[in-house]
Amino acid sequence: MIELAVNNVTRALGADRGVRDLSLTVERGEFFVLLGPSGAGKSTLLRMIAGLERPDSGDIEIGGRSIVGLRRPDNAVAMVFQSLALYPHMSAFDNIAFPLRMMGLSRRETEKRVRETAALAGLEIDLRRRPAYLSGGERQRVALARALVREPRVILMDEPLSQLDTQLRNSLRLELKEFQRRTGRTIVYVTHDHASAFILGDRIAVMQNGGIAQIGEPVEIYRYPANLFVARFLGDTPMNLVKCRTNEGRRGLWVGETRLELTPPGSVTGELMLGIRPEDVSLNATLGAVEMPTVVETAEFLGARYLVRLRLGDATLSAEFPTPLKPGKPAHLYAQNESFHFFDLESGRRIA
Amino acid sequence: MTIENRLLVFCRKALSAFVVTAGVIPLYLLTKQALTPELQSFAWPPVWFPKSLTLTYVKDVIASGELRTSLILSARVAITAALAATVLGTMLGYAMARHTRARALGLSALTATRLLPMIAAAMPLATILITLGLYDTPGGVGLALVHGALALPAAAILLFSAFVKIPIELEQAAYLDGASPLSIFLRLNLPQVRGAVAGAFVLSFLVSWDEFGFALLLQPTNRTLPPLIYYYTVFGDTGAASALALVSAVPVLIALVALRPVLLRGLSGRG
Repeated sequence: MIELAVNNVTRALGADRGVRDLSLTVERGEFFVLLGPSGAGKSTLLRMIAGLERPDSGDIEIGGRSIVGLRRPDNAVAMVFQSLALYPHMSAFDNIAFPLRMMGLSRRETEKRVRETAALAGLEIDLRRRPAYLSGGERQRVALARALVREPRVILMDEPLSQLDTQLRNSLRLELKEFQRRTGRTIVYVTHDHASAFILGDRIAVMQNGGIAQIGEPVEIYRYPANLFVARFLGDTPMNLVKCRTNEGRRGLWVGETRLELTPPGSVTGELMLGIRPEDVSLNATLGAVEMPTVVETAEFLGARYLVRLRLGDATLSAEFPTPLKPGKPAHLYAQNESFHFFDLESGRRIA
Repeated sequence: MTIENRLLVFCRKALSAFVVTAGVIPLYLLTKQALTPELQSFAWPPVWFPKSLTLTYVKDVIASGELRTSLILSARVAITAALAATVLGTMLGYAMARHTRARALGLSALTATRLLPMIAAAMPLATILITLGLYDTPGGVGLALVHGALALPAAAILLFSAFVKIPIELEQAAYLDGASPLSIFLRLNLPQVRGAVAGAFVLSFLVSWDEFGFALLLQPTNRTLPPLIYYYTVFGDTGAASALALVSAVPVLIALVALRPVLLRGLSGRG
């Protein structure tokens, strides 16, 4: 069942900012992630869903009702801001109670719901304390509780975890995912960090220049990036992308003067972009693997693995191995046929 | 000792010297003058430490009805002026903090009015107040309005710099939490600038309490304290004038000491 529908929404913010003719739908109970670099339009989209900004054109529906131009979205959405935007002069309790007080709830009902929500958000502190006296994680929970307390249809989150240190962020991220699974809330989460997107998202929309580059489940997006932008943007070490070409009348692909035993899908000819992820490359020949004759250039120690750069024809590849390779030595790399990605050079689109 | 530290020590000493010459010495001289018999206070060469003291002037001044009337009038004028300047300054400051056009307009308007020589405004103001029937009234409403206008720029700028520190995201969060613009202002913004509000009020109060020129021209018979002191000096009664000045300094000193924490917070822009 569709909880949130964005239909052909446009909002111009200068020449190359904003959102352009964007459509998407979010199911009830879904954890939906908007992923993209800064300036891609994720926050603008989120703020339009929140009702803080108005689209130039197009419509946004929550629970089947248009929210564009509504004075206040009432119980439709709540938002957790990047800065959390906790009210500094109020106690944690008053922060969480604020939306209820604005609804005019009775004192007893307010008290009851604040306690319940605080427990739901995992807050086990003295709620009389003010935000300045809370730890980073506790503040996150107060902000989450404040967003939950009104029981909105959709909760919007604008990178609320980005200002925490890595360890705390990782543990809160898992907790947030677990919380969402347990309670079945609909969450739209904005981030520029693909690791967060993979861990949290049921589905991810990768945004690029105010539009959507690809929507899908994390695995799908990672395995089958729809274009060069998505291919480059996902992954801890970016995907290797090398220019290659077909030769008329001969099978295989050429990278510089090096021939690879590969056939691009369909009957593509001429120049195209070949992609392979560093972790899909192996030093061991396996049945049906494609061989890549390379020369080692450098090897960097990363801790668990070595990041090795290798020359393939006129291009450079990155790969990760548990052992270092000697610079200057030849190395034969192998990868399975299906771990190669092909992209059109002009449009950047995936060739399937 | 590093260079920075020596610089710091020098600056501290300069500050102390300033405080002593501008604050402690005048206050001491005033007190001395108010408590010394006339023959000694006019002695030449002047004496720093009088041989005998007298409470005559202070007693006389307190006993006279003139002081009480002036004191009450001064207080009424200063409180009215401070209230007006603070309320208006809060509104102006908020508008300037949240609206760029209002900011440009407000800042230039507020500074421009201060560029005008005050004496140039005095005559027209007197005419306006006479027309309104507010000239030289026992309640001093006219003078209070003028003082309020005089104190407004400083109050507005003080509050502007406090409001501008509140992130706009807080207001957006409150909006999404269902708060109306009025409750956003009253429950969210105002409590966070309490210190600045108190600071603006006390500053405005002092501007009015201390103001001489307009008070002299606009309240020639119903006098506030500064003109009254002036009249005593003109008529040669320096002992009484000093005693009067001393008495008028007391409430200010009390207010400053009592409100010091709030004021420091408000004036230094920390809340």
